[in-house]
Amino acid sequence: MQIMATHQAVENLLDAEVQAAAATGNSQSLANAKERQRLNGFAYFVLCWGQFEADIDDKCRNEIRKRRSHPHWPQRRGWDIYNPDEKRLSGLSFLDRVALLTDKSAGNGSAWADIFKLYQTRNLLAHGKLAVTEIDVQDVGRQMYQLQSEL
Amino acid sequence: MSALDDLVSDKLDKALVQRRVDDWANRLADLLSDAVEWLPPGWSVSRREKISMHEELMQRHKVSSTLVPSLTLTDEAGREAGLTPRGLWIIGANGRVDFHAPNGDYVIVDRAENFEPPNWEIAPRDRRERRASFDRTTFRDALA
Repeated sequence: MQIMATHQAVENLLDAEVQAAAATGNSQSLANAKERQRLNGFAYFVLCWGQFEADIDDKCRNEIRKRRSHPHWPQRRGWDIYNPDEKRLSGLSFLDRVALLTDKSAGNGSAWADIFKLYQTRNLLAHGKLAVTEIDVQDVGRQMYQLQSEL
Repeated sequence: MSALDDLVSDKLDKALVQRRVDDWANRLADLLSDAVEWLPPGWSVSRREKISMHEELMQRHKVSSTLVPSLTLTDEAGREAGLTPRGLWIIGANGRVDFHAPNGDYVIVDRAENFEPPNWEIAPRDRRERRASFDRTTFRDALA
């Protein structure tokens, strides 16, 4: 949550800049201030996402280890093919790792669906295609922390 | 995440963007109308302004800029409050309004999906976990 607190502190400063620019009536100054605010949000989203992704990776590896250690082969079957100690985790994609932790068929509002949307946001941002006014980091960051606690 | 739905949709075109803008303007008008109706005794509308809206998706799809409403409120003691649209396409909400109140700053966000009836929530800007339905009670509490 330190990331969130730091973001809020910076956001407060940038809000003040936006208010000051709005008061001048200079539309270019206002546009510049809003763009700084937008980019700040994007940067903090990436920071939150990095931690979120790492946590999912750890949880996935731990789940594989747990399942692979089951004494009965019918319970181990399928999990045996993954090596949790391998750096690339047997080539499992991010969404495949999420699928080992959440129910893909649970539908809208499920952890799977929420993480999928966050992943879409991350990809659009990474490819320069996130044409939104801003990311509400305080909301989305908290969502990531909540999902982490539920997995 | 309604903004995300637009971005990943293969149906997003100028007409749909315009519909979203018009819907946002209507939702804002209704929200501010409710706020005026809920004003506690002693509070009044001191200023109604129009703010230019020309978000990136509008520009990309060549939708003209438009004007959306904002409100400034004043009470008998001279304290001020303001409701200012922050934006429509925001990851995390189907539109957001910033609410500057005497006892602090709040955010008002719509949690509904695109074109659904709005589901407005209010939360202190620095304590977003304290979400509550935006209604007469929570509005008046913020003005207290």
